Amino acid sequence: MLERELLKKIKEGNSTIFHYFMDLYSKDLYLFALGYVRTREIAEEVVSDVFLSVWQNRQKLDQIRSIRTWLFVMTKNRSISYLRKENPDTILSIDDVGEVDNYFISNIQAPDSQIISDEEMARINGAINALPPKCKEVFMLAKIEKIPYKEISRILNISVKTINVHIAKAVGLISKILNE
Amino acid sequence: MKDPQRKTNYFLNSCTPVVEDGVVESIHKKTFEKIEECKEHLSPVLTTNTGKKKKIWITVFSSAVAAIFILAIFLINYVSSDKPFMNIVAMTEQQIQDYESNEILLILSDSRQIRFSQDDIISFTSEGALANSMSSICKRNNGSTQNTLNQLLVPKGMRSQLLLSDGTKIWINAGSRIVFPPIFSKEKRQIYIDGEAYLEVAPNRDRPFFVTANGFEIKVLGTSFNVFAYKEDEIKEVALVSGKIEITDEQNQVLEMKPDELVTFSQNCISEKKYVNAKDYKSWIDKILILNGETLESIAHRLTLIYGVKIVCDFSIGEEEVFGKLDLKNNIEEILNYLELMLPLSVTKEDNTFYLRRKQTDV
Repeated sequence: MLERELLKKIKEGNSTIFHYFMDLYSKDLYLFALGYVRTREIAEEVVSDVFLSVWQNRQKLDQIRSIRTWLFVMTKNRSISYLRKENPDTILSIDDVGEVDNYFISNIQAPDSQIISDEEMARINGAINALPPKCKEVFMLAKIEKIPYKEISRILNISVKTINVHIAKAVGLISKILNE
Repeated sequence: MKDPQRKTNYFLNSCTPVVEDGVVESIHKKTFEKIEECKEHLSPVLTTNTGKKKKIWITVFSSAVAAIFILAIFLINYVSSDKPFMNIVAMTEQQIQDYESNEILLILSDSRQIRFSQDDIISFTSEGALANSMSSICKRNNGSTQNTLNQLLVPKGMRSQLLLSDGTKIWINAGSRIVFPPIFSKEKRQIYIDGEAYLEVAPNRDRPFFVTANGFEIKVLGTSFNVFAYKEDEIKEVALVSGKIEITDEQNQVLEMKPDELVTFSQNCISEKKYVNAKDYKSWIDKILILNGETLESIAHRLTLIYGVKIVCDFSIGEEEVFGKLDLKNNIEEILNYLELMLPLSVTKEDNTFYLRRKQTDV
């Protein structure tokens, strides 16, 4: 179904289609939120807040230029609000414009350990999580969520060039590990 | 043994973090629980039609037993009265998505379209007729009245001034839309704003003036204030220059503002109130932007709207605070040059986009 039709149905209040819409985005948004909030419970809260907001604003959905960008931006903002609210003074410092001082990518797994061994995978996971937070945010969106750079530039408010630099760094690191 | 490039591709294409079992189901469940909990807040814009209706709607909804009964009453009200203001606003929305042009466009309630240039003051007589000279050319056709509201679209890079039928004066900043009736009703005056506007509302105790923005509503008795509420922006602001206004946000929090107060909204809820020099917030009507420590990122965003150009601010410098004055009579290159002098900033232009980055000090 085309996104336009989908949103039109949701606007009409069709909850079956809304379930389908949630299925489309749940996993992606969950993984993205998890990077900020770290725990499953809170990430689920964040994503369900985002969907609630979609439902509440369904009359206005067709005014949104890209629904996916909007969903990711909301997920990030919600995650940061949760962090601020839940831990006002813990290790997680978040500055005024919403930059987090760390981002976390949960363990990536290979469906086939014949191609990439468990040991290599463990090293990659370690190396990825040692990257700077912004780099990890970009890597998550570009390579794991497979979002086009142009859209990421709008989600994170950085230029495509910067995204290129981050991705080159992360991919370079991974291929180095796999090369050894 | 195996081609490393193949391995890398395999990693990038086929390997992802595992999402635990039950996460998706749990998100579904939580979402629907929240939807149930928030039933009384559903589509708040539609319930803000009149203050009286809103009150009935909220107080009785807290009692679950009476809910259906009241919903019926509400629906009757909703159908019998003229179409709710916001409904019409939402209807007209579709005609103009992403209006990009170099002309200011006025769409009248009878679907006539009139174009204006930057310096025209668009004014309406107390009978609701367009007072500008061209109004005589465009005859009113009584045939198909599609909606009962006028709307004014000001594209990026332009500004406009509007004089309403009650004498209220509005300065409208770039990339904004205003929806207003040709003549206000007897009981109240209501307009809708998406974007930035500075209003000098003509006092009239018997007919309060309501401004609906995305996410909040302002009740006015006769004052001047600046509204900064672009629908797409997370942060929205209201600065009160003189008089008194009352703000209601989407959570139905009500706040009374005094002069020189600035209220910030985030995610459509009142999030902060502080004392400022409110006049600074309307300086744009005199083509000056006064900066009191705004971040470069937010300034880049404002300049994007004001000049209708694309400016991308790198995260390495986006948080830099800027103080001073920008003269908006200068062109965008001059403004950016000026910022380059004030900050450790380098500006480059590629494909009609300006990129702002931190100046590299080491080689």
